[in-house]
Formats: sequence, C-alpha cells, structure tokens
Amino acid sequence: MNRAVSLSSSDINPMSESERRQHLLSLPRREKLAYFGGIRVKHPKIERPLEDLVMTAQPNTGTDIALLIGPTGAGKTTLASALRDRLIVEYQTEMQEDHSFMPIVLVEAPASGEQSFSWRMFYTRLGIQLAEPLMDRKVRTLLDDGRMTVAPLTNGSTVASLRGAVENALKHRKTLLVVVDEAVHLIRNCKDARLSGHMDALKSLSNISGVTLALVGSYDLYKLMNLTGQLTRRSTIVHLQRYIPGEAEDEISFRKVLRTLQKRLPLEEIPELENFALPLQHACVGCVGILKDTLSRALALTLRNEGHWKEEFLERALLSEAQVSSILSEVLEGEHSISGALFSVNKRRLT
Amino acid sequence: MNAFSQAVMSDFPPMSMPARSILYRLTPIGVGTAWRESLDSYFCRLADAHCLTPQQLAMGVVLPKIDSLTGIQKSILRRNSTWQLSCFNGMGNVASTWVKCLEILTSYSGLSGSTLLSMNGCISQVGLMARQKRWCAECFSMVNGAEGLHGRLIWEIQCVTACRIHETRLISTCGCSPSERQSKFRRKFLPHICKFCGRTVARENSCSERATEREIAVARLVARFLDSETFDSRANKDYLSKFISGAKDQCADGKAAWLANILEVNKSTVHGWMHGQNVAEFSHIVSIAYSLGCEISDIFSADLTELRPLAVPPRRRQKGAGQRFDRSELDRKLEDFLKQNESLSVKKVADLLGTSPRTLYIYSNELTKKISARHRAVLHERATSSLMAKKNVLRAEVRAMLAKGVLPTRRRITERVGMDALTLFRPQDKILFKEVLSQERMLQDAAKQKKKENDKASQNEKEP
Repeated sequence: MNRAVSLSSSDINPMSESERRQHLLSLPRREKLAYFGGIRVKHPKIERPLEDLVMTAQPNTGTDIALLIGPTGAGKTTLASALRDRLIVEYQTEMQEDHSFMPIVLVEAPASGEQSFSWRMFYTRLGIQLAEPLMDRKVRTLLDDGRMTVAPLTNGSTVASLRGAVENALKHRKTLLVVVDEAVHLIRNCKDARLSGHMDALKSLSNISGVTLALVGSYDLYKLMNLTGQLTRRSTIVHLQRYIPGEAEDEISFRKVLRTLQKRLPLEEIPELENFALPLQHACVGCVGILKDTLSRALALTLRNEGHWKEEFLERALLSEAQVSSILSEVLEGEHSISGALFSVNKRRLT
Repeated sequence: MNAFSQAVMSDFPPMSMPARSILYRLTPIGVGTAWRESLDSYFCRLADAHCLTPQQLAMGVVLPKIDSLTGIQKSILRRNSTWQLSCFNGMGNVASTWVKCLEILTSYSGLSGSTLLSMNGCISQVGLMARQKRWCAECFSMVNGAEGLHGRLIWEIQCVTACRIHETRLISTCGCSPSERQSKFRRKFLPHICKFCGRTVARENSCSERATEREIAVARLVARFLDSETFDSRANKDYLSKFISGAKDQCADGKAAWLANILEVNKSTVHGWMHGQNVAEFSHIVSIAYSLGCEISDIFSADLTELRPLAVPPRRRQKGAGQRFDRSELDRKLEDFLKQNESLSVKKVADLLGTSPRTLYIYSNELTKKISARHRAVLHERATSSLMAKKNVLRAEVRAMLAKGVLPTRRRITERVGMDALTLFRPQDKILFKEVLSQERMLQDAAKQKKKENDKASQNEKEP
C-alpha cells in the first residue's frame, strides 16, 4: 500500500512564486477575493486533530463516531476538507485500482426548516455524495411469509429505502469515513428521547456499513456523548483548539499564521500586520477562521479603494465587541465542559 | 525546522475526488470456472445492490450510456427488458454492447467471461441459448449465504439440460400455482428467487427428473469446456474444418458419410463444415465431442490426439420416403373427424394420421378445408365468449371502483382480481379497458344526470 505519496503546491501549480504573484495581481477584484477566501493555512493546532481523525478512520479502531468539536471560526470545515485531501492522497493507489472505492465522504447535515431533523434529506445528500444513481427511485425489498417482493414505488423513495441504499453504497464503495458537517442540526429542537433515536440511527449506520462517522460542530455536540454508556464507549472527541491569548507559544503561532496570510494578500503593497498580532488575536478570539474572514473583509475594502491599504480598513473589518464577547463566552463555556473528555489527552493515567 | 515552518501554504483549490465509477465494482461469481455467473444474474445482483429494480437500472443508467456509445435510439439493445432476453448472455450484438457498457459503468473489465462472446464467429447463434430460465434447485441449496447465490452461464446454454453434480434435469419453474403469482410491479428479480411467487427456488431435495446418461455426459462436457482456458481465448475460425477433416481420416477412412451417420446429421452438413461453408451449432459441436469421445476444447484447438469414437448407430430410415395414401381411405378418416363433436386443427389431424397438413391438403383438399373452417369457427366463438367474459369481469370491477370513488386503473384491477383471472397488459387490453371505462363513465354520468333531474322535479312539486 503506497502511503508515502504527498503533494505540495509546486507539484500542482508549476508556476514559480513570483510568477504566481504576478498572475494574482492581474486578476479582477472578485477573483482576488475568491482566491484569498479559498486559502487554507496549515497550522500547529490543526495538525493534531487531523492526525487523530486519520487514525479513527482506520478500520477496526473501535470508534464508531468521532466528534470534531471546536469554537466557531476555528477552521473545522477547513479541517474536514484537509482530512479529505489527506485520505485521497493516502489511498491514491487503491483508488486507481478500484474506481468505485471512495475512502471519505463529506456531507452537510441539512437544516430543512422542518421541526425535526430530515433524515430523508440527509440520506439523499449522502447518497448523492456517494455518487449513487437514481436516489429518487430506490425500492425496498419486503420479505413476507417467505416471499420476497418489491415495495411499490409511489411518491419517490421512502426513508427506509434511502437508508438501505446508503448502507449498500457505503459497503460497496468501501468508505472509511463519513464527515457530517454542521452536525448540530441533528440536535436542534430535539428532546433527549428523540436525540437518542438519532444517535442510534447513526450508530447502526456505522455498524452495518463498517464506516466511522465524524460529526463536525460546535461545543453543543458534546451533549451527544452523555446520552448512553455504549455511545460514550464507541465515541471519541477531537478538539480543534483556538490560539489562547496570553499563552506564549500560541501567541507566536498566531503571529506566524498572520504573517503567512499577510504574504498572500493579493495587493501590490503588502501591509505590515504583525504589529497588530496581539490585538487581532484578542479580536478574533484566537480563531484562525475568524482572522481570515476579518482579513478578507479588510481586503475587500482595500480593493474598492483601488488597492491602497489603510489601517482603518482593518478596524472596520473587525467583529463588534458584542459579537466577540458572545463568541468568547460560548467558547469558554464549551472548553470548560469538555475538559477531561478529550481524545489523546488525559492519557497520563497509565504512568 | 519545526512542524510549523514545514507547513504548506495551500493556495490551490481543495483536491477534488477523482471520478468514481457510476455503478459498484461488483465482481461476477465463479470467474473462470464451470460455475461462472451469467451476465443477467450479474445485472440483477448489481441492481439489487443499488436498491433498484433491473428495469430501473436499465432505463435510468444503462440505456442512456448505450445511446451515447452506439447512437442507436430504437433497437432491441435499448429496451428496459433486454436483460431478460435469451441473447443477453449470448455472443451477439446485444451481449457485446451491454458488456461494454457495464464494464464502463462498473469499471470492472472481464464481464465478457459471463457470456459466450469468446465464441463469436466460431459457432452459430441458432439454438445456442435457452429461451427459458432454468436452474438446478439443489445447486442453489448447496450455497451458504445469499451472497454466493448466482445464476450460472451453463444453465443458459440450450443443449445443457441436466445438472452434472446432481444428475437431475434442470427445471424452469419452482412449482408455484397460478394463484400464488404476484403483480409484475412487485416482482423481485434475483437469480435464486422465483419471479412469479417471490419464494426461493433452492430445494435440498428437488423432485426434478433424473437425467439420462447422455444429458449428464453433455453437461459434464460443457462444464469442462467452461472450466478450460480455451473458453476464454478466441478460437480460430477454421478450427472445425481442420478437426472434421482429421477426424474423418482418422476414424472413418476418409468417409464423410460415416461421420454424418455417427453425428446424426446430413452428409452435406459435414461437407459444409469441412469446407468452411457452414458454421456449426454449439449442439453439433457438443454432439461431435460426445460421439468422438473428446473434449469440446479439443475441437476448438483442432486436437485429434484423443479420439475414442462410439460404435456406429444403425442408420435412420428417412421419413416419408415412398409414403402413399389410399385416397378413399383418407377421405373416410377425414369424414370421421368431421363427424366428431370435438373440433381439431388440421395439424392435429395430420399428426393423428401420421402425416403432414400439406399432404392432407394435396390428397383431400375439400375435406381438409372443411376441417380447417370448422376449427377456425370454433376458435372464433371461443375467443368471442372469452372476450365477453373478460368484459363482464372488467365492467363489474370498474363499476365497483367507480362506486367507491376510486379511479379504476389497469394495475389496480389486476391487483384486485389477480393476474390469472384477468390480464390487462397487452396492447389490445388497453383498448378494451378504455372502451369499458368510457362506457361505464357515460352510464354513471347519465345516472347522475337523471338523479339530478328527478331531485329538481320533486323540489318543484314541493314548492307551491
């Protein structure tokens, strides 16, 4: 199995750094913004959760469900997308040999506007991600008195038939990991009994198909862990942490992330932002995603000003104090609640 | 260099998943063995894996692909029931196109091994594939777990009529009665499921007849051929002329007539094989292998080293040679048939007299015509009464449904009455159904109108 394959930016884009920059500067305003929005920065806080999730994706690790928890704007979705890239590269050889093999699937849990979570929509989306054809024509096989019949297809596929199709697809596509983004939609408007039902449905999907489910969401997801003992045993929490202001190592790392993003700003004159590293870390609650959004807003203002950078643009791009305090209180509460329940932390008990 | 400084700045878009095959890469069962799976069984299992019926899979996924591959819009190739045809597992255009298409859709190459495509051009397509689905119930019961259950290519070959393992005849029905049959919309198509009743066809002790020695020998010959490498490699087209010429010299002192006699074919047929003018049917190839005591693969590779010919059978008397009729005797017999109450067809009468309908028309034209006319009249009467009965049943059902406020459809009526009581899926049935429905609706409308008028009249009477 070839696991040593890795790709760097130069493999994919053969242009030199200066050529690429020249090309970027020649792009129209909208594309410059799109380019900066699409940038993904690899940073120390993302490495460990990534490794943990790759590990849980391996078969027979005893983990049915992994919860990827983190503050808003910490880069959870980016991490999920990096995880997909990592698994695609890792299983490149197998994917070339077997064209139906799909190691990872990313799906967003739907918020349909209905009172309860729409499993029909969820299974349909998952089926589409699994490249399953004719999702609206799936039939269910009935076994009645030793006779095998097909349930009549009336108004499209039923939830049961969709579920059967998804189970089969996961089995035949030999999928290892299903990442469910925005998994908090599962628990919205849900009482404990119904929530247990939802989690049982996910657990059985994982059992039957032999797939690990990674639920991505904010700290609210933590309450799923306490539903049943069995669920707790077969689940894992992976925490995507923020860069906490006041901790020296985190401050250095955040500064480096800022420097990296600053270099990638598609502007003729690159502004010096390192002086604002600490205030930005406070204003962004130490979250790289929020920092990137802030810089994107500042970039939009600069581009409207014909590419001339002003410090006031950065100030205008910051989140309001009320927003920051709301995010911070949620983050602190969440961090407090999950302390002690994290995967690959708290392992000193053996020594 | 710390971990962070090694970090890659990814200013390229996230990697997209390489294009995946539309259908699962399901592997056919028993590849390269005598148990190899037939293409129709594979297609049914593939549809089941996708939670679709074979018709849906064909219509929604395969036929659009066939259109794009061949550009053919109307053909036998692109019906949603093509997979049910006997030629689907054969070696013609249908099999080759579907194999090509399914190989692209599943990304599994090697599906031609589930058909007889490797023999294309070497044997005749005539009488090659069985027209009915057949199986050995005991072979199904030997398989543990549903995953290994599959329909076998050997059962699709017309000249194979027995199971070589259980030495019983292949069967084509599970024994379910017509009343057990379910609507065609609810049928489950899997190799081990009876499509009519939905029950498994696997039986540990099936009541199928014991096969003859020859049937078992033929089944074993074909099984050994499917197991051999020769089956998967394409044979030369002149294999038969080489083999027959050699066999004639080796076993029959150069006499083609001897070989024709032993193979129970005409001398001219053997001559045609030797000179490449005729393409042999597979049943002839099997018959040659059986009669000369060699393997089928030996014939395809023109290997003459192990020939052990059977004893020469007695020459058959030619049918009809010197056959003459006494006209008066024939007329008397035909008049007797005319006097009988039961109407017989000319063919049946000819069979009973040991001759052909053509002979009857030649020797006793008038009486034969009378027999034919009487039989046609009886058939017509029977068809008319059957149509009337059908109309009555249909009318009663339509009326009952309209009275309940349910929209009568052919499917609903068939489900209610049962497929055997009333078949409504032929084109002429559609016309009949429309006619009855429109008549009943008109009657219903008229009744409503009359009721309305009566109500109005009674209301007018009440008013001062």
